Amino acid sequence: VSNSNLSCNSQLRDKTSKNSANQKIGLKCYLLQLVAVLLLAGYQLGWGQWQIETNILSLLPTDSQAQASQKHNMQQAKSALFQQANQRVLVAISGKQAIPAYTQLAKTITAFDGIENESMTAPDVSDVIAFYQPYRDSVMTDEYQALLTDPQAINNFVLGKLTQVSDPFVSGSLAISPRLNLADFLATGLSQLQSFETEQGIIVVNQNELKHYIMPIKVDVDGFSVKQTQAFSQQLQAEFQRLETKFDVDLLYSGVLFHTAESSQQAEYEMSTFGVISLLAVLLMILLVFRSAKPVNLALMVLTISVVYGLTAVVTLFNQLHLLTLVFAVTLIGIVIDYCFHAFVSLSVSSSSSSSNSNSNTTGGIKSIRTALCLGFITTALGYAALIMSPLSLLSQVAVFMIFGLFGALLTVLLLLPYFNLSGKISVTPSVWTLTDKLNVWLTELHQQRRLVFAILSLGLVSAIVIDDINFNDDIRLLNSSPTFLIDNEIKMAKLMGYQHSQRIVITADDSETLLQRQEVLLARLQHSDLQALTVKSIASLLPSVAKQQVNNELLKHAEQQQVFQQELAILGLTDTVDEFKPLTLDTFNSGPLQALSEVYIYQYQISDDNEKYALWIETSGVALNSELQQWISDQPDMSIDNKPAEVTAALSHYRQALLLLFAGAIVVVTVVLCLRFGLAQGLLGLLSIVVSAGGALLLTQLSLGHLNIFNLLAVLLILALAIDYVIFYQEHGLQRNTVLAITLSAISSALVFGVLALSVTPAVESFGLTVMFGILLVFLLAPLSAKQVAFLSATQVETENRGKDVNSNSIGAVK
Amino acid sequence: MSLAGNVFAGGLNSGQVKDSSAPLALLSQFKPLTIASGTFVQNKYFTVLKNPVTSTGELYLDQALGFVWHTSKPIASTMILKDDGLFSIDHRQQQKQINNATPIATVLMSALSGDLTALESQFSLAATSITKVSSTKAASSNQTCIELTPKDATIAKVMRAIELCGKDTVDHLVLFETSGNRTEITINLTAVDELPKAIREQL
Repeated sequence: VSNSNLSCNSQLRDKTSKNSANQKIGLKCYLLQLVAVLLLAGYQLGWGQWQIETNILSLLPTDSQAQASQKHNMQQAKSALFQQANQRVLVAISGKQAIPAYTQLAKTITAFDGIENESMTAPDVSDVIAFYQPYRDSVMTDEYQALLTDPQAINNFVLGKLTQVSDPFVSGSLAISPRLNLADFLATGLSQLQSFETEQGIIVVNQNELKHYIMPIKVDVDGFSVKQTQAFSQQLQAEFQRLETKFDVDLLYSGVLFHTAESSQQAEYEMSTFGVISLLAVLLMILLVFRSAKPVNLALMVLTISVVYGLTAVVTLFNQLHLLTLVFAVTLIGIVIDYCFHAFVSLSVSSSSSSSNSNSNTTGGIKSIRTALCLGFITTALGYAALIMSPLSLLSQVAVFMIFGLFGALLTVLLLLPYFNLSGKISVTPSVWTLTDKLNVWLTELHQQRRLVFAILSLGLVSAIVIDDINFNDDIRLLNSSPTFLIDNEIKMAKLMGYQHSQRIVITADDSETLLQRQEVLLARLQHSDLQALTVKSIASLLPSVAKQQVNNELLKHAEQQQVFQQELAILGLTDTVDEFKPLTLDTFNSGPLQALSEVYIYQYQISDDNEKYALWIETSGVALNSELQQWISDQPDMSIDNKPAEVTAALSHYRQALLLLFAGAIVVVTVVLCLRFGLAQGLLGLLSIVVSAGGALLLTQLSLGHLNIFNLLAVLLILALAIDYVIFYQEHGLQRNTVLAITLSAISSALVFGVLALSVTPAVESFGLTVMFGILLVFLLAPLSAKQVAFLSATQVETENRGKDVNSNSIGAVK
Repeated sequence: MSLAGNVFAGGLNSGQVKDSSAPLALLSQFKPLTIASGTFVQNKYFTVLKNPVTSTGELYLDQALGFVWHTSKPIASTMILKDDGLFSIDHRQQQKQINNATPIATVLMSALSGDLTALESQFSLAATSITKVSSTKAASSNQTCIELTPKDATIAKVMRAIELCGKDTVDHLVLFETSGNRTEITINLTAVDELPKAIREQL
């Protein structure tokens, strides 16, 4: 017997040493990969090419390959054409001292690095006329063209022009173009493109008898660097304020810059306050429950490691990190802390229920939750993995951050925590156990009524969905956290500058001539629409296509042959013959005095190394395009109305539908996993509690906010992840006190973390936080109901018993 | 333009407008007209044309409403200056708003109605000796002539100067363009109690 006892002991020792050997290997592997991750993080911090992104629109639809390349080209064209718009700030000064204030601002700005006054100086009329001289007989307005058949009409037209008190174009071009087609063409074209009045060279807009002096400012913000944007914004706003007080003027300003600065500041503020609040709350809770600093430190360590993992993964894979990603990523705290709670509670239970070798007990404690933790991580990670492929880069970033962050936390909890000698150092405060037991009793009673509960809730949910009209809101404003005064400024400025009802239509082509011809097709279409008040601004008024120039030239020659100009030229005492055709191309135009205008409207960009494209835009205003025109434009493969808000809304709606499909898929996978692991009945019960929680959360959000949006659905994704964790734990361990305690702590911490998000100014984040909070409450109540039966033994007890059995059978074997 | 005028204009441009009491005083000799109507004869001298292009018409002025410049011969056209901007109507009755125009309409209106502040805000003022080209009428009696040089660089590119001459009111105006062309306008204006209804409706 003593021999067999010895052999039994040696076997135990073997097992223990095997365990510790395994543990050491695990620890070594863990430390190895931790060092690797830290090195990568260090590299990214020191030498990485990543940057912080704050422009909310940059998160939105990045075109997937599935989309037609045509559409992709159009997007490229738009971003190429309108990139300057992001750098533009408009300032309108009004008041008695407006001009001195304007002059002062112009002067101050020259001292600012990277900020410049962009007021376009009007081109010199004589330069423009001289430039057009070789092409004088190839350009004319449509009105002039209409006169060409009637000598009297031409005569009247010329006399009318000549008797005007002052027309610099007539004055300057009469000598070189006595038919006055050039004077008419240039006067019309330039006044169309520079539709603002000027006073002392300053753009002035008269609104309700109040003069507003407008200064366009270009701010050189490179790639929307947060600090730079905020610095520029502060610098300008401070200067504006100074001017307002010094000169007693009213100053209105608008520009993407200010919104970016405000929302990034908001995001930074929320990120830090929410992060700190939720972290403090969670740590306080740990302190209350375990009455020891050790778990707090451990939780902090696990959190830090997980954040390092998440951030490193995001900056490595995306090369940019969006601030909103970080706001959403605060939720990582919520899940990582769950892992810690499960670990701490299991350690606390194992240390209190066992008295043998402390090291192996510690391992046993964590071991008991290993399967559940891994299963939970895998399902959560799978859920997020589906988001990685999302065309919304915000979602992919959040997903990568969460998966890698959770992975880091899982590894740390499973491999590093057992190494610390924690036995007897972590114990749950007795009063907490008492509370848990009370809760457990209550949950057990609820569990007995679960059929009734599920039936009532399911019925309620279905009928509420049927009765209440669930409406989805895909408005871009969900993403906007700009303060009201900035939005008001934008609206006022749009009114002032007549941007209301203005729309931009973008045209693309492979070469400039095709581009200009397409533009003429569009302009003809717009001209023949019934929209009387429609005003069109386009470079076509100064640069017709070569084809049109040739037609003009032939028409003029024909009119000359028909002696249309004879009478007029005779009265003036001039002789002139129509020139041979000479084309004015875009390249030539760009070398002339009007190059600055062409740069505004036409853009040449590269789509690949040897593939260049051209794009231009025209602006319509005065009246909105009717649906017939909109349809016609969208039917053209190389034209598109630029309407970012509408595009974003369409994209949001599209991704919302995609998310719903994803849920359907996720539910199938969860059903299969649960049924395979826990049997059909239990699996379906688990599924029911998950679905009812998610559905209920959405319904409660709809009731409190009045609508749902894509961010509520994203919240559901998180609810699913948490619910699956809870259900798996209950299914694995039953309704036992340590599971109940761990899950209660986890639910409270998650509710704290996500509840704080509901306070966000950004509607998107607020929606997300609210839904998750509702979801957690429901999951907390419903997940226990899916547990198999009320268990009377704790997991560790079962584990210890099993081990006891093992040892016993081993001893018996040895005895035999 | 006289040398003295030039030197003076330079001084004005560098911000000494307030000190220019001499031309301002001269300008204030012109009797302000609140409501007036009359006729004009305009001769445009283009360097490339042998003869001036002559046109005649009527003008109407109401400080409260605006200004109508109606050319009747050789071809009808109208220029209207009112609160919401400057408009032109051609012989086919097509109306267009004019932006970026040289402020000749504003100058006419301000000069005829005696709005000194408006003129001063856009021009440097200088008393001139009577120019040769416009000497026929101005030289006759104690005429006052003032030369306006645009302060706005954009306008200065096209319009070199405007000369206003007259005794009680401005009755002769010459617009010198940088191109060498010039426009001479002779105005015969009398104060009235009210403008014709048709004109008031246009304003």
